[in-house]
Amino acid sequence: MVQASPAIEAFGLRKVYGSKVAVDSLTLTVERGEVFGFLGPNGAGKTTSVKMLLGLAQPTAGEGKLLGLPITDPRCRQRVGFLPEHFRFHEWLRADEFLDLHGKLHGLPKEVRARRVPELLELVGLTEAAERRLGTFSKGMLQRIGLAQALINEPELVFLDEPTSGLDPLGRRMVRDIIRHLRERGTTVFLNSHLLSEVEITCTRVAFVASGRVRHITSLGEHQDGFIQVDLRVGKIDEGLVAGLGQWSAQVDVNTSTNTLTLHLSDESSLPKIARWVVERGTDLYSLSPRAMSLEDLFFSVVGSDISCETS
Amino acid sequence: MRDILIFAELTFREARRSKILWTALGLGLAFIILYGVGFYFIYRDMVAYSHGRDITLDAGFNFMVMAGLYVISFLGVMLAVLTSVGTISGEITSHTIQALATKPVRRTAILLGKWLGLALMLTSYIVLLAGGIILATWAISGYLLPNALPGMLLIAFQALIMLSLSILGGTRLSTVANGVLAFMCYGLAFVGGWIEQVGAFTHNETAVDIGILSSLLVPSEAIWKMAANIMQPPAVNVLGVSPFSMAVAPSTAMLIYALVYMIALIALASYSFNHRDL
Repeated sequence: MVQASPAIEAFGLRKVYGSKVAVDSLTLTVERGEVFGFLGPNGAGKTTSVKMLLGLAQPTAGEGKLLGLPITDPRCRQRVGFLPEHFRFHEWLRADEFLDLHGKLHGLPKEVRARRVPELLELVGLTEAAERRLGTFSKGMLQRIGLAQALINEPELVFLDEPTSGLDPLGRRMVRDIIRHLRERGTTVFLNSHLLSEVEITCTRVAFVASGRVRHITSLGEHQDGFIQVDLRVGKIDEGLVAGLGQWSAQVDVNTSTNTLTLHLSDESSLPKIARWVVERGTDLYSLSPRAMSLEDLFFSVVGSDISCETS
Repeated sequence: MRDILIFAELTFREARRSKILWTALGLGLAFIILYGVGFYFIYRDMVAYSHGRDITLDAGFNFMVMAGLYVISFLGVMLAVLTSVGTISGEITSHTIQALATKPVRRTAILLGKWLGLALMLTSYIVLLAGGIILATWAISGYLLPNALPGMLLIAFQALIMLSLSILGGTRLSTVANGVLAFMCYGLAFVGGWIEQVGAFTHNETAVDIGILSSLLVPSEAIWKMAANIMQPPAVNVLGVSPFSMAVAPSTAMLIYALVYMIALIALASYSFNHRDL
């Protein structure tokens, strides 16, 4: 029963700090095995959403479940890992002691911890630093050990909040490889990021968040949808033309000064039909130019108007 | 329970690593040695000027030990506040709490573990120091303080009350604000306690009432008085010949009240910590 439940379920999660609405209403389902990107500009409510799901912040309203258990029950985090955005840990602990402690908090027996700790230190490239205190670690090393900590219990669901913010290109690749490895093992990954490229490379599905709301959810990779934009330049635009094109694209942008129409299509299979239909109804067609929409284009088209902070 | 012990051990390890423990133990040992040497010379003079072992000589020895214990009781309260003032608020500010609180553990276990770890350290420290000077006095003069063990435990209990107060404050206040609050509370109890003493000697009922009220607000000083009362010979208390003489000793009801007070502080701290965003 628990196995069959989705990894994450959120129903109208809302968080208000004083008069500021951090998360308006978060409703989403992340199935097991997905690498789910949570993408949005700074201040969009991404971290607050993760905090509510992990029990760090109490929702003002709504409810949620992790691996089938309500987020108010600490046991829901038994098979969950988390790398916080502020990866600050007890500086007086040695790297190996730190991982051992977090294993203990998951209730792992001694022999399991004795196996997992060196494994994870190797995975994040910190074997040499096993006996060094965290206080002597660089920012990148702390993020690596934080990632190892998130995986100590061989979790079924991992939350990574901006996991590469402190890392150099080599470290970023390591995180990508780890996420790929997790995906192959069937682990669900919830990746919180404002880095479009990072999400584009690693995720299977992505939610765009702005001003505390999920604006759009789309699949990436092989089943990419909503990703083709077609510009049609015609002799004359009339109402019938716009209405007729509506059968292929829910949204038709009209630019009368250049006589151009822009369609948003889920795939390119309908392109010949569109061309045929336009010509057969007697409209002069000067050009039909499809272009794949990058995640960045989609991001700006979905949340562009809400962005007041930087996006990188 | 397992989680509570993990956090208690972590708190203990932190104190050991951060050298707080060693510094405190080293200075505590220095304190006992200093006391022992000082007491030895005073003892020699006292015996030389006295006419054999009598009640006044014992009262003199008792005063010396009580002076030492008074310092220890103050140190205990200071340590209780200083070691715990940032144990919750500091971890929230530095975000170290996030990786811990997202484990499958109850926040109450984190809080109780920290309390337990600090409480064990404080109690051991106070018993060690107080035991040290009681034994030093006994070894030098042969005078054994009455009710030494319950007295020491009461002094430790006084520190635990302040520990609980400071942990409760730490769930809502910043480290500095919490420290200010804890010491203000201690100061309030301290002044209230002395007003009550003076009031009792001068038969001023208002002064006594003020003292009782302050003891109800923060019962730490009342517990010290209880400890002082049982560790002094009855004659010293009745005659009021020592600054530690108790004109009115707090009743058993006060002890029960203080216990309930401390448990309530911990329960409130747990509630407050459970309901705050980290």
